[in-house]
Amino acid sequence: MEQFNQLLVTGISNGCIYAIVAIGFSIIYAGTQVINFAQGEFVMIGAMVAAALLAKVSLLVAFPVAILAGCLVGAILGLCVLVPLKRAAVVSLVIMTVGASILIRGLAQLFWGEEGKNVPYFTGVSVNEDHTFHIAGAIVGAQQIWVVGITILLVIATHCFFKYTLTGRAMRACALNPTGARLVGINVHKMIILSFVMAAGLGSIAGVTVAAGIYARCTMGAALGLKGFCAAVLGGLGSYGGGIVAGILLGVVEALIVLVIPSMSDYRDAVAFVILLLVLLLKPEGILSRKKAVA
Amino acid sequence: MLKLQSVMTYYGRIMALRGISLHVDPGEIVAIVGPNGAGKTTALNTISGVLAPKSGRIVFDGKDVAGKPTDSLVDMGLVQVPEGRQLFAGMSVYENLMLGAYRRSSADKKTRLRDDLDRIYQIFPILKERQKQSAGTLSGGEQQMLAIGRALMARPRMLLLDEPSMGLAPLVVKEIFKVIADLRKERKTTVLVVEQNVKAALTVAKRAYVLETGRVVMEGASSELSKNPEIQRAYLGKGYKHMVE
Repeated sequence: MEQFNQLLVTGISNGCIYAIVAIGFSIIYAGTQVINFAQGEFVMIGAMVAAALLAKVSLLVAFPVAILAGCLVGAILGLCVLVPLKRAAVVSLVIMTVGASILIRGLAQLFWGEEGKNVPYFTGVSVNEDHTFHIAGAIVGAQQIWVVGITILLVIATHCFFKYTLTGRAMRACALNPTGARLVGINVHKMIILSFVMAAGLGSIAGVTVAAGIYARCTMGAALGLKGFCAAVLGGLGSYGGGIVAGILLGVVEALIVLVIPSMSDYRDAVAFVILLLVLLLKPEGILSRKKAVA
Repeated sequence: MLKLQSVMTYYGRIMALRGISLHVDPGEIVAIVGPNGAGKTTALNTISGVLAPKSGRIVFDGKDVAGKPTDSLVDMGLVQVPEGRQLFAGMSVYENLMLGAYRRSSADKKTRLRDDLDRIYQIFPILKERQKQSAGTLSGGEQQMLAIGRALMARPRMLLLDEPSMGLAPLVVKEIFKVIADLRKERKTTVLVVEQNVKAALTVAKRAYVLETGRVVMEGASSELSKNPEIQRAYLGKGYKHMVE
């Protein structure tokens, strides 16, 4: 039981990160029908910028700057996707984001090198030691509480933004009916850029949060991006709620799989993709979406 | 208020408008009628900035607006109620109406938005009843009302209506056209309406243009056009027997 609880804690905190990345996928997909495979690089940018800055300044400065840097990269990518958006097929744009992700990773490696950079725990005892709590027999690190707390905050903030603000409503309107949106005077292009900026902002927050306590590396984005992608597809692309639930479920299943098949521990990362393949075969619209996957 | 001078619009290399000229005076209701594919919707989309004309002038309120983006035309008070309504189906009736006011300044919204919303609920009481319902669950007539209501939330001085009667029962069509006539009377809203339902269009409009294959082939007062034998034969279903004989 204790082992179960311990794995559950790990699963939930990992799953939260997948959930945030999945929201990013959904925001961009809803507005453009493009699956942005550079989403993972937003996570990496956030982590790397924070890591680089943390050598000189405190987290309170490094965190916001890292988010801004992520947003900037998102805005640039958004502009790049926007230019051919009307003329090109969605598939070409998706390939473009794959290319962008390789480019961003390559540039980051040129700039920061291959080595991992240390990011201290947000509220640890020291750089390499976190505060811990004992909850139901499991050891919970303060960083894991940060992860869950930040995820909850982000989910609430995103929900309120889309539900209650004019800009959020306008973004939903663009996803639901671009022609109608244009006719009420919404600048659809601006909203698309904004969706990239938001997705990048969310990704970089996830990046800083996940990197704390472990190393930030230029190559960390790919795996996290793909896990987030799995979560987004499992939840039904374009469905924020679905992506969040699927992300957390994915993290939990991934962690608990060793209880069922102990030899799986080395292949933990494969779990997400096995589930993804199964779901795509059996219920391609996503486990949590009622309708066909529409924005 | 609105004037088009030899406006040409292309879809790629296909010429959809072959130089049309028309004008709408302030406070007037004018109709564009004609068969499928005549370019009626293209004409409206060109006026509202959805399409850019290849050549010609479009003057609204004394300013050349050809090729201007839709959002700035909405700011000027020119708002389109599109073909097929183009509502935000997953959003509530209330949210759809609020998005209609998207371009209005926040100061303006603070003082007058509530009144405007009440006014629209007064014109279309059914929308108030259904304000929390998703727009996609409305009937065709209610959707058309919402599309008009959404456009009215922008406080337009001129409305462009594209096929408001499409797919609606005759009684609902009558109701919608009554609202259009009332808007002109009460708010001096100028209206340019595109219709395939020629009979309804000629009843509400003072003047009309007949569009065929991208050209204006006839124009004049509705009362005269509805007496014109060619119009009667082609659009009003009269004189068919005569033709056969």
